[in-house]
Amino acid sequence: MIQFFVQIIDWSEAWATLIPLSVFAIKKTKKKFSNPVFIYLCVALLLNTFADIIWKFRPYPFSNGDNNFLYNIHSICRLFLLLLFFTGLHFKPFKIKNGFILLFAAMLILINFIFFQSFKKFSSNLFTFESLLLLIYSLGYLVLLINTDKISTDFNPSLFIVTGIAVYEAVNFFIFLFHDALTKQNPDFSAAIWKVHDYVFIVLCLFFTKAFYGEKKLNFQLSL
Amino acid sequence: MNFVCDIVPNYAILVSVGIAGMLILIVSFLLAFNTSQRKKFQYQQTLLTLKEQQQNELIKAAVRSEETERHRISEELHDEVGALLSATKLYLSNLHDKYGHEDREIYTKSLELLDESIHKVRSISHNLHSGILKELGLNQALQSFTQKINQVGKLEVITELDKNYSSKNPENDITIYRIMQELCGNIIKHSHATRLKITSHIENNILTFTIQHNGKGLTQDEFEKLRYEGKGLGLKNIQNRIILLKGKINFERSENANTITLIIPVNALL
Repeated sequence: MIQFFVQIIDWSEAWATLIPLSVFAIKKTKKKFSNPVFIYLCVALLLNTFADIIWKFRPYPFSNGDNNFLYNIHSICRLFLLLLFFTGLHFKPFKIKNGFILLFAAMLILINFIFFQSFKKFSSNLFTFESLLLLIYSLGYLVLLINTDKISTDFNPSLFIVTGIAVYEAVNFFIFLFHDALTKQNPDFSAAIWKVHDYVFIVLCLFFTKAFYGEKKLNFQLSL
Repeated sequence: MNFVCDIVPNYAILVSVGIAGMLILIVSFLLAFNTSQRKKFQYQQTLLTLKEQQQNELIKAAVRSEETERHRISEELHDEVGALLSATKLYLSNLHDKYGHEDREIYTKSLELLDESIHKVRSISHNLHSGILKELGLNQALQSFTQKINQVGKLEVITELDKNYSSKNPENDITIYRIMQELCGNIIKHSHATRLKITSHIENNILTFTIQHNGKGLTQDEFEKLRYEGKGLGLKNIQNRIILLKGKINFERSENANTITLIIPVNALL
């Protein structure tokens, strides 16, 4: 029974994305700004499934089970697609346009992989940068809402997406930051702590699901 | 010997403390966010309630001043114009023996027109005055009103009013009466109906009036549109009075009959 539960958690990165995706497919009303999130979930489903297959079944030519390059691709896709989502909300926490931030991020990632880290290995730098930037965007958006005088009684799906991103990036920030060092010092603990990331990823997908599902006649939709 | 360089941090503790710290921070932030939004929502609701109260007070004042003005005009018509017309009739009657044979027809016609004028002034004055309402109550006033608008061969009016309704606030009865007057007036003017049925029913502290007619009716959307376009001042007055009574009005159009339903909570009438 425990083994079965462990297997389910091991594959959670793949199946968790199916929850919001199926709700997105069923729901007729779709908001335009949530399209980058939908694309992200599709990409995440493909990459995570592929990563789990490599890790579990080690097919040729990935016989060593190394799927770290897929995690790097996942992180890049998450960063750019979720930044596009914030652009769709017309939100910019910095004085410069979001386009420049995207360009700046792309340059930093390129410099990191050309000069500092190998793309084939899990990049703590990339994940930490992604986490920090998305945390600034999500918390900045929530602060903007706090400072806005007017409050709408309508259901706000973006609020759930942003809250999900904030929770995911905040909890995983230190996991990403010390992942390389922790893997060298204490590989068992590193593997165990990655489970926390898996649980938080499920939470992120549940927040996305709520955003896609919409309102179920709530009196006060801002209850989190 | 360099002790500082030999100290290697325990990353497992660092990560655990970091995760716990971030979790506490994000949960606190979200709680603060939720509280702030709730407070803002409550403040907005309070403002809305105050605005609504202010609007109701304004409507109440407008309706009261309209009623006072109607009362004043009614009294002026009755006491001034009515008295003048009666005096004129008296003077004209004195000419009874003083006209020639050929002027008899003019005299008779003048007297007839004068009688009709006196009757019209009395009728307008009574319509504007809410005295009958205060003395006899809403049901009686509505019966009297429908008898007046009933025109044999042109408009057949049937009234079935719930006898269990007893007036608790004459001012609100006047408001209901004015709504019914305006609605019936509109039906006569615009719908070209030949049959009109007014029924009232009171149940569970809800007073319901139903007006059915066979003319050209309105749908709820058309009513809202006319009200917002500012074309129908009467319709706006109806809506204002309904807001004052905390009631609802509904327009339905069908092939057989058009129905206007007026729902008024009796508690609001107290």
